Amino acid sequence: MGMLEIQKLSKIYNGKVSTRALNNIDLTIEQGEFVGIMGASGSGKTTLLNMVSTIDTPSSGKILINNQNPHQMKKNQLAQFRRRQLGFVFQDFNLLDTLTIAENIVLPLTLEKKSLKEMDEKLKAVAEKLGIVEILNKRTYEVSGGQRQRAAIARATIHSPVLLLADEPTGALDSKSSRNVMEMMEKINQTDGTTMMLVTHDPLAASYCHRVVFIKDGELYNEIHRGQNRQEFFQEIIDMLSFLGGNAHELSAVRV
Amino acid sequence: MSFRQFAFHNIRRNTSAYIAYFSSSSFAVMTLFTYLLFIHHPDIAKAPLGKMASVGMEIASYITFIFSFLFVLYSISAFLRVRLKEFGILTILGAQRKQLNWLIFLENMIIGTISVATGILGGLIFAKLFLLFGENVLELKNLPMYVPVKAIWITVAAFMALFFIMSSMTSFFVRQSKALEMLQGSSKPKKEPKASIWLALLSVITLSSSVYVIQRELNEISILYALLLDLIGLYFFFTQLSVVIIRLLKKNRRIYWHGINLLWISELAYKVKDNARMFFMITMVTTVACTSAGIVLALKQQAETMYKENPFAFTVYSEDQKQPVFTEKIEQTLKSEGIEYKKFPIRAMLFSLKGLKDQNLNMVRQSEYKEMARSLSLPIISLQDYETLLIQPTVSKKQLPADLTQLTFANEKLPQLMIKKQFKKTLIESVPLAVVNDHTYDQMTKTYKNKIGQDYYYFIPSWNHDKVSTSNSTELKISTELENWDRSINHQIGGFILSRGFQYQTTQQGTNVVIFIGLFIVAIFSVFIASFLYFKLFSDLQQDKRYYHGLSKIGLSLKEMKRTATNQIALLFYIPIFFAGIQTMVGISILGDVYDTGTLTVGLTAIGIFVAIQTVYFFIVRARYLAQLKNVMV
Ligand SMILES: Nc1ncnc2c1ncn2[C@@H]1O[C@H](COP(=O)(O)OP(=O)(O)OP(=O)(O)O)[C@@H](O)[C@H]1O
Ligand SMILES: [Mg+2]
Repeated sequence: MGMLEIQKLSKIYNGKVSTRALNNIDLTIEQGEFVGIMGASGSGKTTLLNMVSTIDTPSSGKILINNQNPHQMKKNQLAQFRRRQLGFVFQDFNLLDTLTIAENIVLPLTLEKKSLKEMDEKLKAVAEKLGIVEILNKRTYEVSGGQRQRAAIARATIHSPVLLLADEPTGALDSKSSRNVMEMMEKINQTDGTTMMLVTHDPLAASYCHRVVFIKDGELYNEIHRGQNRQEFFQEIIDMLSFLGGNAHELSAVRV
Repeated sequence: MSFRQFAFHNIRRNTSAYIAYFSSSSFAVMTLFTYLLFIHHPDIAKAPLGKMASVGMEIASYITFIFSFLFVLYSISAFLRVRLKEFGILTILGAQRKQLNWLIFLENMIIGTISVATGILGGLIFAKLFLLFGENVLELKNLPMYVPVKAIWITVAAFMALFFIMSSMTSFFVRQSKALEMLQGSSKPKKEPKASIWLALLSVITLSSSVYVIQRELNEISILYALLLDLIGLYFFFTQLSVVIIRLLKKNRRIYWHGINLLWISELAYKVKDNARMFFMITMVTTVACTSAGIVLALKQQAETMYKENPFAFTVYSEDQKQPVFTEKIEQTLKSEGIEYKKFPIRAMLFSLKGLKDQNLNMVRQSEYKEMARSLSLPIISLQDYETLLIQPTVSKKQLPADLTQLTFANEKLPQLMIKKQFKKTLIESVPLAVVNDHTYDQMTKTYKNKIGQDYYYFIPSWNHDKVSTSNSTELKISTELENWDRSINHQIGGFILSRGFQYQTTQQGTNVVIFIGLFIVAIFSVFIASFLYFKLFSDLQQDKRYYHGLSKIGLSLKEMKRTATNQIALLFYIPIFFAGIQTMVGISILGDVYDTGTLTVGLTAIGIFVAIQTVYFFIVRARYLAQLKNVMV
């Protein structure tokens, strides 16, 4: 039994024209696995992530996270499930301007009304791991994008979630910061054994994963596993993307 | 499509954004119009409300106009701020500064014209209701509806001018660069509010010295000083001290880092600082309104007690008893109406007492008192020389101590008087009365420098009941007749008639006018406050939606969102009222000492009513706001 079980998942958006965004997806992510989701624009990546992160509900099919089905929960229960079991990293960081970095990071714990001592310990540990101790008392607009994303990762992991979900975490970052952020994610995956699911356009980011799953027109198309070498894996991803009809020629291998 | 067409279409398309602006402008027009319609009513102009009332109404119309002006000004800027993004798009599409200004000008003139029209129409619909209300509060005969040409004329002129001026000043409201910034999302997040410790300290000092000044001495000048200090203190309280307090609160992580506190307390500093000036204004106006309400209602109550407690319907004060013209007039009038009366001649001497500041008493002859006492069934005791029967009025707050055994006079040549017995009853004005035997009275007279006037008190048994008389009672009719007669001859002869009924009625009418105007001002003001807050909230709505959407994703529940948002809205609504409440209590408990009856309760009732109105608005605004935010919760 995997940490995340997706069974026959479909999503249809009903509008003037109904769109079948996801069709019959089956996917299992094991405990401690780091999985990337890739695909062309409009292929259904965000939709899939939203289903898993319980932000949106599936039209049919089932999702089990740690053997629980969040889509059967009530709304308030669901919010609690999200902040206890899941961690989120977003492209736009989603940090609050009115809070300092430290306050942003401990926010999930304060909502759980944890003790000050516990919060301080966890904050210290996670800040050291992510190398953001110096900026803890700064505000979000006083630090760089990379630092902001690391703070967001700290917030997403401070409560030791069973599953970390990331939607384009490097989308707003330059390549150096991207690399740095991905290294942090890799480190957390290795040291804490946190299961991770990452949606990205960026082959560099995807190359840090153990496995990359490709979606085409709402269906699982293919998946490739990483061997020993990240450089090789990166090349494989680019090849796969160009095969899928992406725009691989725009991506240069120089970034690796 | 011409630019003018574009302006028209713009309004049609963006209906919801315009509705708030339009309805508030229209409301402002309606308020002023209704008010003007009332004060220019032909019957009101003729009504005997006195000079004070007409001046009061005049002032109130200026206040109403200033409020309306501020209100429209605020609406316009809130409205334009909401639409900044649209202006950004137009700028990018190549609209020139001039075109943009022309667009905004046209839009505002269109909305302004329509809201003047609908405001007047709405005012006409409500006019009858309002006239009925005024009729009742002011106790006037029924006010028929009329064609309010003058009111329409003034309203149209005032508001069209207002809209024209404001529409022409749009460049003041919209900075194109800002619009672009907004569109490109490059507007920086707001910096953390800063405050100066020194100014915060100044606030504490001025506020406390304000209380000190007014407590030490109470007169016009000290009240003025206290008010000035209070204004300064309150201003810095909202702009500086509040920020300092919140910062201290944040230092206490046990509270701050607990549940949703982290969310709303962090927002609080921004919200208070952003709205400091509005809070300041609301607090001041509310305080003044509630304090005056307290005092005015206390005056009204006092007049009522005075009327009820005073046993004499008429009093004649004359310096010379050889001028019987006043008594003759009263008696003749009463006889012709077939009303029985008793007349008591009294010659009272006024003395000041030693050691008690501002404390006087009237001394009367026992023989004169006996007459009165028999009719009013008051105790009669025998008095030796230099013994006295002390009668303290019930209506005055200045009471002599109950355990007083003798009276010592400020004039040291006068002998002391032993108090043989004392009781409470209002007889001659609100001054204590000392009854002495005729010999003592004559002895005291020798040293008395003032001329002793001859007064007559008229007791009319059929008029003495516990109810206050209505405006068509016999007492009031006769009182009015006598007072009018008195005024016509007053200046030639040394003396005058005082009638309790007429005095009562005059105070009642005076206070009624003040209360009516006050109610009107408080009513519009509270609607304006609510709308200010509404605009404030909804102009930040987009930002708040993003805020809560983000939080919702990481697991903020609907319940927690509601609580956080409720706290934020409640603070906006209740912070100023809270401080107005404190100020009113301080103000009334100090000023209220001057008056006799329950000023504080009345002031608190005024605040209570205000809180109740605001609470209704609070729930409406909250419901609408939460409904919007609920949509973004995932
Ligand atoms: N709320 C919605 N309502 C209707 N259709 C939607 C909605 N969200 C997404 N879609 C449609 O579903 C399909 C999948 O969208 P999705 O956002 O999952 O793509 P994506 O793979 O994340 O694309 P991108 O790489 O551009 O972010 C698209 O065709 C999109 O138009
Ligand atoms: Mg997407």
